[in-house]
Amino acid sequence: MRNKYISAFLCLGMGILYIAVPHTLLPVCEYAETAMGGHAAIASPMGHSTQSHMACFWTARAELGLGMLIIFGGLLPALSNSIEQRLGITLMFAASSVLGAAIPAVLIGVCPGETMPCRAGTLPALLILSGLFFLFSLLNVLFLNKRRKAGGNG
Amino acid sequence: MADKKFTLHWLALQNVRRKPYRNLGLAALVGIFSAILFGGSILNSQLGKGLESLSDRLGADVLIVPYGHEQIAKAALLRGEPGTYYMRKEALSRIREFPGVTAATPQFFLASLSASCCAERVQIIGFDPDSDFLIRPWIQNKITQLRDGEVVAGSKIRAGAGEEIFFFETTYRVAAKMDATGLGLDTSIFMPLSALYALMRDNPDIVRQIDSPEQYISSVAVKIDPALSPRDVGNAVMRAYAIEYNLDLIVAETIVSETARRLHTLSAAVYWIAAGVWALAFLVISLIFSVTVSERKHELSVYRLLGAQRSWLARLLQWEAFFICAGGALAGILAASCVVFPFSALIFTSLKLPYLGVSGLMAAGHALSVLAIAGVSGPLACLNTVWSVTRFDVYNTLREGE
Repeated sequence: MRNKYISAFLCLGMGILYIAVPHTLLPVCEYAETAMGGHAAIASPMGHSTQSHMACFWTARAELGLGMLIIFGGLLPALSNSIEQRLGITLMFAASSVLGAAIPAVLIGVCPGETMPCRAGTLPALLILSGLFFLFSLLNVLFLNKRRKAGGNG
Repeated sequence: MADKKFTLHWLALQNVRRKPYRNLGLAALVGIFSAILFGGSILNSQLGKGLESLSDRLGADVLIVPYGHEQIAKAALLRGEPGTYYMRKEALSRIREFPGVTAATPQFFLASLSASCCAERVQIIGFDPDSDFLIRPWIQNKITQLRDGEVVAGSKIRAGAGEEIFFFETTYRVAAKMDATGLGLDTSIFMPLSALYALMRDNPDIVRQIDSPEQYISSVAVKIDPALSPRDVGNAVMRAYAIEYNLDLIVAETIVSETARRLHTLSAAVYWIAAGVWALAFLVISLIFSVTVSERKHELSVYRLLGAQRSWLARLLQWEAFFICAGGALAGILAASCVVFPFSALIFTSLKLPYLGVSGLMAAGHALSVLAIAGVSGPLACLNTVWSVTRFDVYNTLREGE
């Protein structure tokens, strides 16, 4: 029984981190610039303002959605006593962690400059966070599977 | 088959697993010590290599910059923070003729605007190919001369050799890439002064205050006669021309010594904190082992009755201490690796210090050293307990509580 509350608590934490890392803890370029008193509009080569956003901005948006999904998903096991349901949700978390890493690394990406805030801070933080979340999901899957075979309720 | 499992190591591991929370606590303490020591030594090595690169690559003995732009010039040189500054060129010929000056070469520092969406600002450095002694030594094994429309890119510029790079609405071909220096040069683009002046003429909005770019330079890098003190000659140049041409002086030796001082401060802080945590871990392990062995006297007496020698008991306890410490150290090294390697750019950008990555071999060497220190600390910490184990009387211990 304790497992479901621990996993719900951890998922809540992970979901909050997925939202907080690219927005406030290690913000992507545009949020970092805004935090330093700059403005989010991007200057063109000759200094004209344009409406386009950097890739890292969209990565932060996607992680926001993923974080909310993880928080919502994290609450479900706490409401369920079925090991099979919790196992399924935990497998979804493992897949979400892969998505959490793929968004900044492959799917959307971050800015190319090595010293830019999103590449130097946000990207490694999201990759480490996703690695930890994957590890947690994997261990939980193994634990729940063991319980399922033993016929317990975890 | 079952007998084969009852080795000393296996038994020690089982004993460690039997008290998971207490041993996890001890391992966590060793883990914190290992993380601080390993993380700190990696950061120190990265900074040390950056410092080495700094003294190798500065090339000039003194830099003469416009008055009030000393910090901007240092930031551009050390950290690649883009900046644009300039002064009239007349000072150059006077500096070249100054007694004690063996060579002087002009440079122009121009900060690009954001070249395009998602590209960061870069420092464009114009150099004089005829008199240059700073840039050419590091690229001459790659190219002999730059043609029109060609630039040399720092190691952290995304475009590779042969690729094109676009800024100020002009496309340039990257003729060569410099090796990593750990300095601001890594995020800079180098081009001949003539090409930079042409670029400024074609885009007068870049530096609106300049009407005729050829009349301006940003800095003069100066080599001083080795028999003389660079600071003395630099100061003499300042006394002669500082007011007339509005000049400021940067002595290369000072930049290196300032960075070295910060390296030593960081090293001292890291090693003192690590030593403090190590002492705490040593004390706690020693105390916990002393208490638990008192609790385990019956168990240890049974081993003795079954024929175990005192030395065997001593080794059992020492292996337990070793497994706890080695496990903690491994976890600590792993945790520190997750911070220092991926975030080194962020850490050193915040510290405003030059750095260069360390090789895998060097990192492995640091990890093994930390593992060895932590691994040895456990058995050492419980030596006193081990000694007492070899002294208690089996018969009386087993009779206790009857």
